[in-house]
Amino acid sequence: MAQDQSQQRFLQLISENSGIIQKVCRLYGHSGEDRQDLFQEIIIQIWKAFPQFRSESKLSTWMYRIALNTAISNLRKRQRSPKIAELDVAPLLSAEHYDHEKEEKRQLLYEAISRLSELEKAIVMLYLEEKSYEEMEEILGISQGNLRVKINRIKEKLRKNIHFQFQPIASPVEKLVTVEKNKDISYE
Amino acid sequence: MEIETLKEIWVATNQEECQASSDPDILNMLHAKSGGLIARMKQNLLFELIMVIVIFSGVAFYYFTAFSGRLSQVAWAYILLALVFVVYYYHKNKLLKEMQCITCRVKSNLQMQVLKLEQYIRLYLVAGTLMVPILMILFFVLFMVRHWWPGLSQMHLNSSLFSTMAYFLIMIGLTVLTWYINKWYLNFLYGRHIKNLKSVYEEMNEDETEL
Repeated sequence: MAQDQSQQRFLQLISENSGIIQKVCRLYGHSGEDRQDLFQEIIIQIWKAFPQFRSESKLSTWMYRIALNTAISNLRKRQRSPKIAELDVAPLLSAEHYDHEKEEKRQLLYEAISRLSELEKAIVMLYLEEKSYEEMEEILGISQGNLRVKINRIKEKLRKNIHFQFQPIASPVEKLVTVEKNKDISYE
Repeated sequence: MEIETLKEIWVATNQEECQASSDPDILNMLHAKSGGLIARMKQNLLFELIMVIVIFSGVAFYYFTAFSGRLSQVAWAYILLALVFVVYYYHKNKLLKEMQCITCRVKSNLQMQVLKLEQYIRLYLVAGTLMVPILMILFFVLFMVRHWWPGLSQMHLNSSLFSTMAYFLIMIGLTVLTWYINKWYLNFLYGRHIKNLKSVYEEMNEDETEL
């Protein structure tokens, strides 16, 4: 009976906060299967820690800690892939939600984040989630001053990553036109 | 594209994608075994303990009953070794239990994990290497008690000196070899993992000293 009640409370907790787990899985999982494994592992860890949860810290802080600790501790198992961001994003969306422009931006964002280190991914996720520096410190254990320095550096990296991805690749015809133009200039 | 725009995309993406998983799926996950590294290490350790107890008990039983019980010392040696392994198991299991604080801050959890994993590896290396000379000395003593000490003559003493020295030289050689094999094996098992954890931890501390 008590077990059932506990399970019900747990299910409610997960359904209300599954977004936290999914975001962590998306950032740290390198394939669909990998993300599924990580999701399951985080659920198991939250379930194990659930009886000890006291409302001393915020629920989201507590869940972020478990999810990030699980993801970072299990780095060994998963292989690093350069195409992390090119995951099956589109199939997750229903047809009515599918928007090409939005999809492109989304891919761009995840590709840029995938080039960051494991720690930077955690920081950028919390930053994009608009967590306060105080809460970020509570989750990660990094001082607020240090977090500010790191966030500035990450912003710069993201800017570069996104700028790099946006560099248009000239077609052979365009290249030829440019060469011809340059020739004309030199004759003048 | 500016960072603030990224924030908007991030929020919009997650609002669309984060649907809650179904309750039966979550309940099924609760009954599944953890696939985490520490959980797997615990399972392997328990398996190791069960194997040692089963095999050593079998061998001990054999030496108690075979040869009309004349080799019962060997049986006792195996029982002693099994007891030593239980102590070893206790220490390793204790380290594994302390290795993870899943609800702690990420940095302190990492620090704890690196520290305990290094202690675990050291214990594995030392115990795994010492096992060779301990076993060889134990069996040497048993052999001496049974065959040489009763009625040991001067001739026996002279001839046995060379073989004893050879035995101990082999023992030293095997110990050194075991040390290197264990070191390679431990590095193969945990080297990359510990390196990953350390690099994340070091990155966390990177700018702390400058501030």
